[in-house]
Amino acid sequence: MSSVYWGGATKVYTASRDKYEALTDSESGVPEAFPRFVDVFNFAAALGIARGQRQPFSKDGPEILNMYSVDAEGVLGPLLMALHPNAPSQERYHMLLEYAEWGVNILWNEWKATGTVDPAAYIDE
Amino acid sequence: MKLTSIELHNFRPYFGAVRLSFAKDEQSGLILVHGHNGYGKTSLHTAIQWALYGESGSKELHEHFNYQALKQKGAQMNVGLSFSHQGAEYRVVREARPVEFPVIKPSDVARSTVSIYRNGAQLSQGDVEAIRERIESIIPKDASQFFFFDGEQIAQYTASDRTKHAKDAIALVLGLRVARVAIDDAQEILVSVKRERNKAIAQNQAHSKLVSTQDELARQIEALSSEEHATQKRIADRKEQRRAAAVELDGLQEVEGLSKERQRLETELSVVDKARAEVVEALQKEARGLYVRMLGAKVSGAHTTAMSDLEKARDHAASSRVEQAVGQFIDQVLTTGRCICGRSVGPAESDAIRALVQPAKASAQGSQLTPEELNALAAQVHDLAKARQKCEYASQRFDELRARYADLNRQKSGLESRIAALSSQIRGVDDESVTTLHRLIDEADKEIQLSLRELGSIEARLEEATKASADLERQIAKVALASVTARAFDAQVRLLEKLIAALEQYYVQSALARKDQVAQKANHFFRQLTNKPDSYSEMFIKDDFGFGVKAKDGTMPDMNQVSAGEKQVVAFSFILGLNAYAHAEAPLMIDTPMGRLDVPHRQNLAKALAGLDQQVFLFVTDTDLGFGVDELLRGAVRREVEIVQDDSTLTSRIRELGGGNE
Repeated sequence: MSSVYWGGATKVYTASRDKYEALTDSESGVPEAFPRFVDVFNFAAALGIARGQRQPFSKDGPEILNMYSVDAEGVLGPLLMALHPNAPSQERYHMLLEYAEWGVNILWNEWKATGTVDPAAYIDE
Repeated sequence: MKLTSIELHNFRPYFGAVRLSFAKDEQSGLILVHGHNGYGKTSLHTAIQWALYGESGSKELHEHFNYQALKQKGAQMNVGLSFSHQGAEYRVVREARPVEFPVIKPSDVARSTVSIYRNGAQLSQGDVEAIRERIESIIPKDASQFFFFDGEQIAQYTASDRTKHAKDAIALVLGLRVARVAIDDAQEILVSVKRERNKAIAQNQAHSKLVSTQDELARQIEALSSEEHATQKRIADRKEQRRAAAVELDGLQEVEGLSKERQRLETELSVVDKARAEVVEALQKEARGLYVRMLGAKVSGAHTTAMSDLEKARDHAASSRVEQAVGQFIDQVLTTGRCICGRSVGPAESDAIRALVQPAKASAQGSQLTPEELNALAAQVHDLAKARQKCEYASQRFDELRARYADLNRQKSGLESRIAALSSQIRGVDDESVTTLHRLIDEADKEIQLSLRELGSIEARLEEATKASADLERQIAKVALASVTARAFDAQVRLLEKLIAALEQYYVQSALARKDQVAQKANHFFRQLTNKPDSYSEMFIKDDFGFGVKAKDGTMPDMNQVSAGEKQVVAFSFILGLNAYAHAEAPLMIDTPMGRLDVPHRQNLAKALAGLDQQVFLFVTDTDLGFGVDELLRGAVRREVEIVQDDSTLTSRIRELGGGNE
């Protein structure tokens, strides 16, 4: 993940760690889609970006990831830069976390309701 | 019995063959056989008896053999009698021949053999005893003395002590033989039965010992039977247990089949799980890039926009360079007031040129990106291009994996259902149950085999004991039978004794009845024969068939004191009376009938003999026929023959008187 997109940020924060844990639980979660926290984050962030929705939260919560493991495909950075060309990279970093925060809530709600998450349903919208 | 012919061959004085036949009318009435003493009358009489009854010994037989014939090697002696009896024609032939030659001693002549024919057919060939019985049935030997007798010996019949033999002989004549034989047989049986009874009584003592042994054997058999039954039950129980275990095992084995199926499905499930895990891992790998798929459209849009911007920027940059060069030219022209071609440019031309380029310069200066910005834009386009590629690839690969994952999930679900269904069927079955059942069956088999061997041994012992018991049973039955038999024999003994007593009584009564009949007839003859009708009122016969006379005064003189002639008269009366009631019909053959009788008695006897309607042979000498006897007999004589003898050879032959000899 190129730090040029995120202003040198190194950690990922969330106010919904429990949701991350629930979704990645090997027994009750959705391990085939979200085996790791980073997979939840990426998808949640992508969902938020695709829907154009962000969930602001206090960034002083627990860190869950290192930034270097986020967006291994290198899509979020260029896309956010394209979508927010005038935002400084630090701001894009916060946007990214908020996109992800919104997205994880959506995913967790579905999981809570159905016991699973169908990523395809979000992808095919 | 009526004689129809007599044949002699080498018998006594008769050398060669001699034959005498009797026609029908000669089978009743008198037949006179004349002959001097020693000529062969008695031999003829003897021949008839020998033919019927045989010889008493070899000495007698030797004496019968004609002495001339004995000198001839291969000579034989025989006598043939033909007679009718109870409607049948019989022929008896007895013969004898020497076994050694020359014949020196009596034993050199073999015992005679006899043949009997009835209506031409030989009877009982070779069976001497049967032949003897046949002859006895016609005229018993013991009875023959009252048919064939010597007139001079007749006084023996007047013996005061009637021997049992004589009494039995009389009984035979009177047909009391049957009762006599029955009595004798019964007595013989009685002796035999008593013997058996005593034997049976002796066996009684063995009975209780055998019964005791049998009881012990019965206890053993009972014990063995119980043991057999218990063993059989044990075997049956074990077989039932085995059967139940086998049925259960079959069920388990059926379940085992299900278990194996379950195992197979579980293996298949593990393969599906493994494949699913691989797909999950693959999906997870793809999931890492899954998010890019969701941003595909946005990334594509951003890339397209960026590319457009970049193109514009590049175009703009390229135009800017041209404009810049033109601007520099224009500036140079404006500055120098001269074109590159050398032409001078006036002030008005310069103003016009300025008026043209100034707005363009102004707009160019406003939209122109810096090279760094252009590079950044280019870099962004590049990143977006890469992101776009990622998005497109992720889309395709993830779909494939999802489809595979869904399929594997369906397979897993199906397998798990089937496994669950099988598990519910084989619930409770485990290898330990199967092992236990196998062990149970093996143990049952071993015990059954052992029990079967045991059973075999018990059965063998039981069979042995049963057999021994059966043998013992037979012995006991025999012995028991003996005890029963002893009682039965005892009963038989009593019965036989009663029977014998009854038969004796019957015999005696019959004999008495017959005696009375005989006495009456004898008395009739006595009155005919006696020459002292005034002295004797009657003759009587005693119970033992001895007889006597009763005087007119009622006294009964002792027969030993009666004269020989009178005894002869009494004896003749008795015999004639006896013959009248004889059971067996036979010719009367009297040798020297007149014996010691005086003339009156002879005449009386001749009258009596002439009045008989049975066949009577009188073997007479000349003296027998004197004193008017011949005349008294003549009317009744049917046939008259004479025995003549060759003085030189002393051989006799028979000559018909008044006809040719035979």
